[in-house]
Amino acid sequence: MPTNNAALIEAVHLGKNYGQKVAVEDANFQVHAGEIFGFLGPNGAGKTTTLKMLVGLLKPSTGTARIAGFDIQSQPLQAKAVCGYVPDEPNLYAKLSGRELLRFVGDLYQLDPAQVVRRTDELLRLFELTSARDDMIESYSHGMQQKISLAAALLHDPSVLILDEPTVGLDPKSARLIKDILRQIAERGAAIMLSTHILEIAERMCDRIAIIHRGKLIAIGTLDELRSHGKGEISLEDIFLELTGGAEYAEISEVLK
Amino acid sequence: MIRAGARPLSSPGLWHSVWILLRMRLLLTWSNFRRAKPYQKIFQVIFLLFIVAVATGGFVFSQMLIRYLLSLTATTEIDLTRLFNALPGLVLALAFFFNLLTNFGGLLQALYLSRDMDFLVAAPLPMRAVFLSKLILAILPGFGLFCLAALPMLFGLGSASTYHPLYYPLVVIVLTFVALGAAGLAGVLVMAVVRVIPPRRVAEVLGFVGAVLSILISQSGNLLGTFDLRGDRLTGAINQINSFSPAWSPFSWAGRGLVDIGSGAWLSGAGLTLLTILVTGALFALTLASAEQLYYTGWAGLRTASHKAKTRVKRVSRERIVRRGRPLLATPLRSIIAKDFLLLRRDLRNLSQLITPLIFGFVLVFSSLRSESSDQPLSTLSIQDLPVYTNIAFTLFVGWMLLFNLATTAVAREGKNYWLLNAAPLRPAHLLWAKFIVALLPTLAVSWLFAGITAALRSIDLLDLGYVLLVTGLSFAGLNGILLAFSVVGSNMDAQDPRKIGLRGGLGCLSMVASLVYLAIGLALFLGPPVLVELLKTGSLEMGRLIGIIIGLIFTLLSAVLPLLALRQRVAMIGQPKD
Repeated sequence: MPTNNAALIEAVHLGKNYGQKVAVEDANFQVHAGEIFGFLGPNGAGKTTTLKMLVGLLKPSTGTARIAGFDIQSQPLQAKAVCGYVPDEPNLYAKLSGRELLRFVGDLYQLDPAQVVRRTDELLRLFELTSARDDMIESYSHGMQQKISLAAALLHDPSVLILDEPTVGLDPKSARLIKDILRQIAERGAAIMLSTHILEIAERMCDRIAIIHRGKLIAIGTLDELRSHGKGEISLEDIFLELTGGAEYAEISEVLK
Repeated sequence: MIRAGARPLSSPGLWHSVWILLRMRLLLTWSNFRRAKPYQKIFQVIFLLFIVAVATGGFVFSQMLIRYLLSLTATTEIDLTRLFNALPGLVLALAFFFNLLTNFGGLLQALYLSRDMDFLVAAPLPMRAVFLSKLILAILPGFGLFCLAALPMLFGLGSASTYHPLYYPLVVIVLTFVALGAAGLAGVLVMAVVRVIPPRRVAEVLGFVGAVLSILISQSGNLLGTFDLRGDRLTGAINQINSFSPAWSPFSWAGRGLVDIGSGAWLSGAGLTLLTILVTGALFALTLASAEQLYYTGWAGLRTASHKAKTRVKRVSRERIVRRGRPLLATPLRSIIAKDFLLLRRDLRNLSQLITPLIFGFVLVFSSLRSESSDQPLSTLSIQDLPVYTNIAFTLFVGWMLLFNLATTAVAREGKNYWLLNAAPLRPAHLLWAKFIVALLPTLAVSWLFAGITAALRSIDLLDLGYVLLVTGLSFAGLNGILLAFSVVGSNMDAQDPRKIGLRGGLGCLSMVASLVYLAIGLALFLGPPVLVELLKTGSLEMGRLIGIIIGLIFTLLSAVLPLLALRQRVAMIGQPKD
């Protein structure tokens, strides 16, 4: 695992409340340079809320989030300049073309125009979107939108990449491509944090894994560390179900009998 | 273990399926009402009572008016009986075309652009039931609105003419059948059109055409002149109205059937009414029969062809706009401006915002020129500069309409795409100034063009035109700052349709009041000194204008800058849910 000691993503006592409802409570973790950090949890556990707080899309109710040492709330420009984000739903300007969107993002990050042109062409080629580059995004399939969203996040070569369910809606080939790209980015020293429902992806790709349940981080560590704290479970699926609702799973099995 | 095919499903009947789907909508409506806040419930009840009061008032008013007009027939030479006999036919014709036009858009949305289609198609329901339930739900609002206007009038006619009681239920039945026939035809048209043009494009074009048409219709009274109810003109008007309901028209037969039933001519009445019901019912049945195939194949075709209907964009357009502002503006700011102008231009529905002030402007110029050419004096005050001030007021009105739309929706237009700006290292000031420029430039272009044309028509000289442009330009800048502040504070970021985006809750109303108050104060500050100079005859007009410009300049610049400076910190809170 090519990590070093620099913590590029830090959550310190991070919490978010919506009125009386606690969405995330006292989350503490770090993601280091060169590391792929998986964020798992059942639906509504608080994964997206946590990621949005890290990126600066949501204001935390408690605690702080730091990106590359910059507090996302008090130093947002510095923190956002080194961070790339892919949301769970690729809401993109439907009436822009893929190329126009990437140029727009390049301008937002104040990249050199020549660099934007070069990176745009590279990324469109990498994600096999070259032939659709001048089509409006409204005509893209979900997978194509997901890919252009990832291309936008990679355009400024970020040292921190935060992805919310990046492989949802992708065909196996595109999902594999994204996995390979993420591994290469991590090897170049970037910190990657991704949430996923697909435990196989987390198991194969992630150097460390955190499991969130009902807003609380209930486990964090490498797969071996999670296994050693469990009751002899071998697979991540067993560990996950044990921690987040094995009993409910048993009930479902009963119903299906 | 689940055993496939353990319990074979019997195919549900058409009407049972329709009832299931309609009941779901009823439950949703009831649930929304139950969960609403107490003040919202009270408002809804008051609104319902208001509708009942309007309908009752309409009925009483129609009854009294028709009785009065019928009494005129007895005492004067004007014969209104023909007009009243033709009224049901006219209303039915109007009902048909109103429902045909309004339902086209409603059905397009309900049949092809709603998000529940995957779920409904996957469910074991007859396709015809899905079509029928969607059709009923789509036509209900328009039909209800039409009935609110038409029923009091037709019932008033029945009461004033002492028609037989059978007339009243038959009016409702015939009206319903005519509306269903029109809706069925609209459904077939929608199903045919989306086979050629993508539904979203049709919706955009329809939105644009609908907006332009509604404004033109609303202003047609101003363009045509006042309605004079005297002597020959009234007879002419009656003949003109009657010409809309010629004897050969099926709607005339339907209307005559109702009148005959009301006045006791049973044979012809029953025959014509039955014929109407049969023809419209057959039209509707034909639609239902074709829906099974047309709707499903059309909808399924869209699913496979949606990614083929690609719109390629010109590669240079955005870069050209970005390059233009390079020496003056920061890159992110330029880029947002370029992006916003592209998006405004590419979505036809946005163009209706631009067209509205142009049509109003045209009507204003036309009306004012007509009133000037008549003998009526514009004002009893002897102000020499009155044409200039009138030009300023009209230009402000035209520009206000456009600016209000552009500025209050400036932030909300980002909608769910806002995350892209929010996740980028973008300074709040850049975002605000970009939005400021995007709202101001089209306003200045449209309103100044209007001011120029008006000045040419009224022979206002160039110096005065410059004064008009300066006063209006500064006023718009200040107004833009105030309206953008509302946009930052109260934008609803969930809406997708450009015609529906706007401010949350009462902020839309508040922003309108604030903008009118601002314009009134601004006008008083700009025009007060020169008007006083003219009225009191103390000093030169130029000096008065200069004083007005200096005071107005301070006021408008403060209005442009202060709200945005104060709200810079709020930019980070845009789109944030409440804690």
